[in-house]
Amino acid sequence: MRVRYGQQEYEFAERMSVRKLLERLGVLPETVVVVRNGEIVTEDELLDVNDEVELIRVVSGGLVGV
Amino acid sequence: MRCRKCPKKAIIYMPEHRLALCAACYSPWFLDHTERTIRKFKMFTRRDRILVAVSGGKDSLSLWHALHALGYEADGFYIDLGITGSDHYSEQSKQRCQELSERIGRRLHIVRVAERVGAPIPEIKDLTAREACSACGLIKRYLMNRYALEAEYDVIATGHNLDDEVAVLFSNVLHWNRGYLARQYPVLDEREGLKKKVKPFVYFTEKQTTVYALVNRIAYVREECPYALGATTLSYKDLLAQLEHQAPGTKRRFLDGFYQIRALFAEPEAAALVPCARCGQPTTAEVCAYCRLIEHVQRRRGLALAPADVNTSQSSLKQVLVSDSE
Repeated sequence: MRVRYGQQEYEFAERMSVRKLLERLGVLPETVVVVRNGEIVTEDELLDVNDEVELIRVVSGGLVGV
Repeated sequence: MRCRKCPKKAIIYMPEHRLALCAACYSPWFLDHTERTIRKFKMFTRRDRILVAVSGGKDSLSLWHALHALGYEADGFYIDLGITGSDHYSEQSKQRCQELSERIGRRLHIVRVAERVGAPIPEIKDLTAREACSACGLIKRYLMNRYALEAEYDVIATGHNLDDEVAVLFSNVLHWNRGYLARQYPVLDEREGLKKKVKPFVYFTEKQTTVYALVNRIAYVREECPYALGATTLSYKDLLAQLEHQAPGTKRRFLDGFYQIRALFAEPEAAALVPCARCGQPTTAEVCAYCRLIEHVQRRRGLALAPADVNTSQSSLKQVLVSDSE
């Protein structure tokens, strides 16, 4: 499967769950939304070798109070 | 994983609520919780005119979309910071706001920092000793308040979420900023020339607002502001995400616990607000920080002070602000 995370791209040859993928990449599930072939998926979902996966980072910074 | 409310496949599991929802059930849940927060903190009613501060990011655009979906009278307010760079950050941000404005049929007001202050944010950063986020915050707070007053909005709404609020609380506790702690709350009531300010997304995580934006196909700027990349807030958020991962609900408990004891930080004699000698906006000094910033920037650039921003009457201020609107 091909995985895009920000500017980085990764290739994985085996099936694995979203949870396992995030562990392999060292990414906490709270910090990303995982999109598989255009659809948002939960951590228990099994990813196939042909899947296109995108990790959308949700954390933003540089806050200003009001 | 299946949706708790119907047989469809879930798209999000929220461990702090022990709740999994599908795409169809997520938006109604999200809107219901937005409404609950608005009522819990008595933020506004459907009779109020709301000015939503939009940046082009997921939180503020989702807030504008959600308030409109809930039937509130909410217009957008975008401050063009003049940040360019390879991503054309400000231009892209403005486009995302304009797209949503057209889609929901609500007005978007636009103000340009370069016109109001005399220079865009990157130049202000170089001309002053202030950090970019500090100058940006000062300018945003000032322009939002002034615009809301002059255009007669009842309340200013911002897209600050649970992660934002907890990171700020963590920082304020870490440094024992008693003054900031006294003012950290989802509602700041109107007083002495300061408009009421509210944060209806205070109980949503960044993941929840992102999923709302994606499910509702709200196009938002994904790139981080180039000046925020090294911000300390991001390192606090990483730490807090680890704590939340180990013990779901930690962030919400931290914030709600603080709300229960925040009266301990109230300042018995808060400094009185007086009208700024230059612009008439409320300040604790003779001349407000915004006017001092303008003077500094324009002096450093060798410009004559623009009559629109200093020594002007309230009536001409209104004219200036309305002319900014698009």
